[in-house]
Amino acid sequence: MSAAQYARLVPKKYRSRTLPKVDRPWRPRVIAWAGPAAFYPNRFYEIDKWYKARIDKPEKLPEMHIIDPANHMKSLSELMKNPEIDQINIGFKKREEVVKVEKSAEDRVELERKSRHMQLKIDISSLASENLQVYRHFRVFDDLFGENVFFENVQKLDVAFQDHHLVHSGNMLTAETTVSPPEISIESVGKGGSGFNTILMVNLDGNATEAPGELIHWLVSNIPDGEGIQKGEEVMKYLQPLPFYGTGYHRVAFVLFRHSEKVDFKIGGGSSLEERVHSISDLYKSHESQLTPSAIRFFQTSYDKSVKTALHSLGLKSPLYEYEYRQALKPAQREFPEKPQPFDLYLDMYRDPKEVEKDILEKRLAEVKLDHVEEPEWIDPNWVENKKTLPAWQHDRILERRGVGHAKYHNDL
Amino acid sequence: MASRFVKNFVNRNPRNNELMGRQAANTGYQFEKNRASRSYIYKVELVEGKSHREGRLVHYQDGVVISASTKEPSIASQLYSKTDTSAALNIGRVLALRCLQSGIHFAMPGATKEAIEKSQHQTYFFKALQEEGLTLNEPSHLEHSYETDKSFTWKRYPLKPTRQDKLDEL
Amino acid sequence: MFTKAALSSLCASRQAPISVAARGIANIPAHEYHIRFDQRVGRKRPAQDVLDRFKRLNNGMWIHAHPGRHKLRYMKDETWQKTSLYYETCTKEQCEILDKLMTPYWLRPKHYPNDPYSAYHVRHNINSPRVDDRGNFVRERKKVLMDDSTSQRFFKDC
Repeated sequence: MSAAQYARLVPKKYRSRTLPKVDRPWRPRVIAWAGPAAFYPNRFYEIDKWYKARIDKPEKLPEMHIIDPANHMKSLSELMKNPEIDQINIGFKKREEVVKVEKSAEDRVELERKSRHMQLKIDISSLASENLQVYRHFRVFDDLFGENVFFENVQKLDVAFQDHHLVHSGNMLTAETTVSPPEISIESVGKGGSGFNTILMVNLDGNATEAPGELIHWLVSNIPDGEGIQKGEEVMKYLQPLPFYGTGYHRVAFVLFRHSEKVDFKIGGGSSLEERVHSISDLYKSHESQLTPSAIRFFQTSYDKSVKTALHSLGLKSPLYEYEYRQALKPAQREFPEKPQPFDLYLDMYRDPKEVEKDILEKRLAEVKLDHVEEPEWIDPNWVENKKTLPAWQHDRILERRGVGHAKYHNDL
Repeated sequence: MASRFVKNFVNRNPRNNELMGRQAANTGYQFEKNRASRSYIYKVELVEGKSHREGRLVHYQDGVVISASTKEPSIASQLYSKTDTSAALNIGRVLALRCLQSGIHFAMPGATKEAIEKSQHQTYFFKALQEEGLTLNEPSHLEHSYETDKSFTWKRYPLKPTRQDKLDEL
Repeated sequence: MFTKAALSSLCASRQAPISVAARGIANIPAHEYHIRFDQRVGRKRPAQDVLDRFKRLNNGMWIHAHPGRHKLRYMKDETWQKTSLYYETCTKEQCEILDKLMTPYWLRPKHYPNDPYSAYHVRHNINSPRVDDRGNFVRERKKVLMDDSTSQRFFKDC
């Protein structure tokens, strides 16, 4: 109301002596005092109703991704494929297999009859199968000698643990079968009994010390060609593989080296675990001119009671390892989340696990009595009552029997 | 002298997580017709060529790991034909043995049930695999949860997507 | 004639439509919605509807039940059946408006025995300032005022 309007509307008799300041600009002052949010229309009751004006939120654009058209010319499988690198053969040339294919007419008739009746079963145990792809799949060459290196199996190597447990290319053996040293037979390939073999048993994953390298379990060097293992020099005594508790499956490899002269590995003969740790690639590098790998076999083992007894006999304690998961992905916490979130589950995500455990323990101690420690027979005896009266999130807590709720009664913390 | 073990032990075996059941198999692409066909860690398949039968074990990342084929002279010399049903059967037996020798006990079949039933070669191939001791199924992996990891004290929860969320996805 | 009880029930029934009507109005701006000065009490009155429908955690976060969760449940989908039962958080603006509808009494931190919300009254791992422009702690119990870097060293629950 302006002064002119006031004068027009109010008779002189009733006018106040001084003009009332009815038109003073109060809104900017209030904004200065309380902020602009004081005058925002209250729209949060019915946010997206069709008959309401929509609230225009500031559009938040995601970060721009740079798309290189050159990459889009390839298919996904091509993009995912590892680039092929030339592999270096550090061993011998591959041996040619000679298979005599001579079938007489009678044989063919017999074969035909058998295969027609689906009774033809070929002898699968005698088949030679040297498949390097398996060794690459298990990264055996890479962890032994470094990247992009391989060698062919050219010498026959049979490793048999007790009860005829043969070692192939990564088969599973229990730790119990490997307690005693295996019987090893090496094919004689030298002309006139010349040349030497060296057999190395190494655990690629068993190094539990700070020093880099692999754990050597057995090293017998300078075995004369065509002779048994007993004729060689036992540089390192046999130790059974030690896959520690909780560490999963370890690869244990037998590598056969061929050399024409005697080789002196300058490895101390100490038998403690630290003294057994050596980098195989360094060891090979230092004797590269003499040694040539000619055969490899490996198997996988996991923890077993025999590992514990073996460690105890060495005067060590059996270490207990636990798998450390990568932290589960969760959104970054915001003080006030943009979208409505279930408050309990949202805040639980960012609570300290230790504090949650303390909470559980407190709850256990509050509920559990000395004469009654076990889980109650009924999860929620007054379910009907609780369903009506409790909020859903509290009722879910009571009903929870997995995860944290499980820990309330089964304390394996 | 007492040995000191490292606090963080690293197992370098690249197959360890798969063997321990921690590795989840792929779930396939969303708009694919048959998503299950990509959901495997190992799968076995029989490739029926014009003049050969080849059995393969395929890893989901490394591709073909083990194969057995009638191209190998030691197998072919014992067979009557390289393409008949009994060749497929024997290829299955050889492949299963090689898988077990490499510590692979579980693999998914690389063909659908209908395709296996339709073809006699496939039927005998997969039957031979099973008889030799390869399990044609993979155990499901262990979820990352409070049971497996004590620091995982919270839960994942579903949220109802709003109209705007669905528009943003497109 | 009328007994006392009957009279009071009559009064109640006469008052009821007024209060219902007052609740139904949704789009009154916040600054007009509550009584800023009640003559009888001589001070501001908190909005009773907010007190009925919302809860304020001690850290300043307002939560509320999902509106309409009992309506036509049978015809809604599986995810909604679960998510509708959540007690949801409010956004920052909503929290500010709701705070304005309250009296200082309701903005004070409260501590009850056997409080099911007790675990959620403090926030963890938040880096935003803990102090408002007047130097009061925003989301936690009263402590000696110190700078953020020092307090984050010694107090985990900020």
